[in-house]
Amino acid sequence: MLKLLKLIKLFLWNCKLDIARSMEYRFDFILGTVIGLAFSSSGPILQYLIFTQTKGFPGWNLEQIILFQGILLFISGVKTMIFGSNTYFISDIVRQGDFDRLLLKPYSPMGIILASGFSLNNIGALIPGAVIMVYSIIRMKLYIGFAQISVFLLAVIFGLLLYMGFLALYSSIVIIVVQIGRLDELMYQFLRFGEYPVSIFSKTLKTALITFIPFAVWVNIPANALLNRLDYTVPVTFAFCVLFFYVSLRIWNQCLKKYTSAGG
Amino acid sequence: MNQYIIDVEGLNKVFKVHKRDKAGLLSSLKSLFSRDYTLVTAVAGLDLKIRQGEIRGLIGPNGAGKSTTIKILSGILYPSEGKVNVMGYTPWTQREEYVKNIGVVFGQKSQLWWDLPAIDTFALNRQMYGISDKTFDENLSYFKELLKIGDVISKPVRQLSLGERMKCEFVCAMLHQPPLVYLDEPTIGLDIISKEAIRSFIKSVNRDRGTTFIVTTHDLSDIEDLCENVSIINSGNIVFNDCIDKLKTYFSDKKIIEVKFNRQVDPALLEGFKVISGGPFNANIEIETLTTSLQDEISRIFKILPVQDINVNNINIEEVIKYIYLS
Repeated sequence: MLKLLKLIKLFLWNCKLDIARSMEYRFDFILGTVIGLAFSSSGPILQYLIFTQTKGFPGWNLEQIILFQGILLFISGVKTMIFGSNTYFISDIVRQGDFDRLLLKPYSPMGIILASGFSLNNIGALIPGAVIMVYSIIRMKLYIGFAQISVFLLAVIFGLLLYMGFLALYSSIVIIVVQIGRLDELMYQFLRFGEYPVSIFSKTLKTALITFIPFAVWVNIPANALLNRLDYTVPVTFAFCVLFFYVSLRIWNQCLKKYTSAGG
Repeated sequence: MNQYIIDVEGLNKVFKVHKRDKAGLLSSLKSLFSRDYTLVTAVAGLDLKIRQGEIRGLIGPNGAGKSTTIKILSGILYPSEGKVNVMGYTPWTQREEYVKNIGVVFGQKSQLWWDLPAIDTFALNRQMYGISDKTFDENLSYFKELLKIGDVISKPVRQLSLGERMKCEFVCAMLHQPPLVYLDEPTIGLDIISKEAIRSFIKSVNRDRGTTFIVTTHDLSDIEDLCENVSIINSGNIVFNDCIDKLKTYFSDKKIIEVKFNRQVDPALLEGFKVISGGPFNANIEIETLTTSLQDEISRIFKILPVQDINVNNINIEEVIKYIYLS
């Protein structure tokens, strides 16, 4: 627990430094935010077009899908703002031998990696996501009580845990193979399975998305929490997120022993 | 209590390295499907003991195993075999606790945030090492005074000269008052003034606080200026481990007689001497004192050559080290 608190403090320090750095290069910050907003908005627009030009998604009407897209934008914003720099950071430091620096600090190196991912430039998706989400809630006159907010927040926390698990796996591969340029793209494409309602997938894939690869935690569970239509699978998905993170950390610790550094 | 701050026994580190025999595209493509690996022994049964409060030089040719040894001692790498005890810790198994007690400066790597003033990285380190405000302020004042970097720490790191940046790297590595500091080529690329400032800083901290320093370098003037003891590593093992004076008198049975002539000398006149270097107006003559009397040889030089000036020296320390590297 003490270690976790130390890491949270470290994360907050890194946030402060990243904000200070963003302010040093204001134009880069503004441009990065605008471009981030443009890119992250293209996904929901595309899905809106798909929805309106096809038979839509089974079990979801247009208003619900707009809420789903708002949550997707919001969660993506949270993920990329907190961990946005991670894949670049780990690839860069391992290739250049700077990973040594992390091992000289009195923290778990994975803790430092995860605490170093904050990127203010990625705030672009978070704000419109929150706006669309609130707008949808008001428009649909949804009842939002303590239970809904609790499940929503728990889903965000377990979703971040799952994402950290993926970052740990990614880092493990980088530690072993050093240079693997397109791996992050591959990972992000795979993670996109979590950007659609689970109901559109086959039964097998649906089961996988709430168990072994519990991507349902990112958007499906928060959306269903706000729409007040949760079922017994929620705690199962949460448990699998914890399991995934735990296994990823074990793999990371094994790979760390094989770290060879760079020549002197 | 163990009098040694570092106690290493039988340290081994073997790397598995991908080997490509031929250059060119075909060979690169072949390596995509099938690769040959070779085992490279970077450290081979190394034993090392270092006393508390020492400034120990660790030198050796490129690829000798110095950096690998330092990386194992600082907890970065796992060894393949061997025992290491540093202040009661095994670096790679107790890394998180252990690194609170060490500082590391890499001459070719930086731990400062490039776009921000060094003072921001210092503040981050205060957080990481849990340094109290009082200790932080005292140490920062001490280092600022010693290194004369009062104004430097408030400028963005990217605007600093290499010398100024290195001074900040030292502060960063030592704010938490570690009793042991590893310095990996700390003066590389620095001008003579900055080198002197860094060396003087190391000596002051060693004297004032009893901090132990392990210095790896290719600059022998660092070793001569800073270290009482020196360990030479070659092919992954210690081949010389003694005080620097022993290194200076390593070839005690050999002397170099440095002679300056008052006119140009015909090379035929020098045929009876073992001339190791020189020109028309000077010569460095080596003699073996076990077989030749120094007095007789000097008399012979005065008799045969037009001497303007003469000096008798030990074999140059660089020559000694070169000899040890090549042995």
